Amino acid sequence: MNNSIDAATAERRELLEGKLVHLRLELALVMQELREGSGLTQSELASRLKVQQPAVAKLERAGDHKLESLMRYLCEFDADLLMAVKQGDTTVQVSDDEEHLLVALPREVDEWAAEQDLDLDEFVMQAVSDAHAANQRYHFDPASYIVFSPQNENYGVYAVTQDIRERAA
Amino acid sequence: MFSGIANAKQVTRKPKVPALTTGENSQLMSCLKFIEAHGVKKLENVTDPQGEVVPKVERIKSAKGPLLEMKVKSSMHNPRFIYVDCNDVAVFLDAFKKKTQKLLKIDIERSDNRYADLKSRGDC
Repeated sequence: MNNSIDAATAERRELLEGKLVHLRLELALVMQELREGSGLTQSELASRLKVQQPAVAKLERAGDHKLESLMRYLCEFDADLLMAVKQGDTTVQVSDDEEHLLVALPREVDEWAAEQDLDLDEFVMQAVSDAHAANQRYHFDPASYIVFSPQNENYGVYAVTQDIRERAA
Repeated sequence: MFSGIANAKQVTRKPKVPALTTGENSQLMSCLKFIEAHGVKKLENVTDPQGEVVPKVERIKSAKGPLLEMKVKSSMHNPRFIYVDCNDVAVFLDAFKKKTQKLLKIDIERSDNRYADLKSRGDC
């Protein structure tokens, strides 16, 4: 019994390595792109952040970042770090949710968006605005899912809510 | 049977450990996913070969071709992969799991030959 628990824990820890790699790589890339998109050099950004240029270069690599350094970097570009903790079916947003909500979407939504030749954000925004225009009530809760109902054909394909049809009825 | 090797004992060898551990494999998967999404050059741009954090990607200076070496974190095999950037597609030429600090010359040569072969066929 204990052996199987140990094995499961060990495997979770091992899988964490891959998740960390993913996070580090994607974060570093986004940061580089933000700076390059704004036309700033590393030195220029360094003087704004009141640090040395190598510190900026280090931040733009897939390293172990301090949350504080990350936030300061992103703040310079009016960008924000959105974070949520997900355990099982529960998602709790831990970043400030006054501007944006993070929601967990079923994996299929990606495919639905692709079918309409939209990216995920566009697809969700369209679904929300269409549901709103159709006067269908929906409820956003950071600790819940937005569920798309493929049966609703009002705007091509889907409706947003936790069973929007039931709520509308 | 191998011809020309008299008295060579034929055995069925099974590896004692998996080729990659779960952790090594999950890191490799993340790197491949990143390459698939953003291209090979981006991976090189965002990793720090001098830093302590993995993954590390660096150019193999002693190679004739533009070979790159990628290392992932490991407590067992110290796996590293040699690949080359073919029009923003990563072509993996070899993989190693060794505790040695540096790639052996013979291994780099083998990858160089594979790259030269790809190039001669117009695949890279």
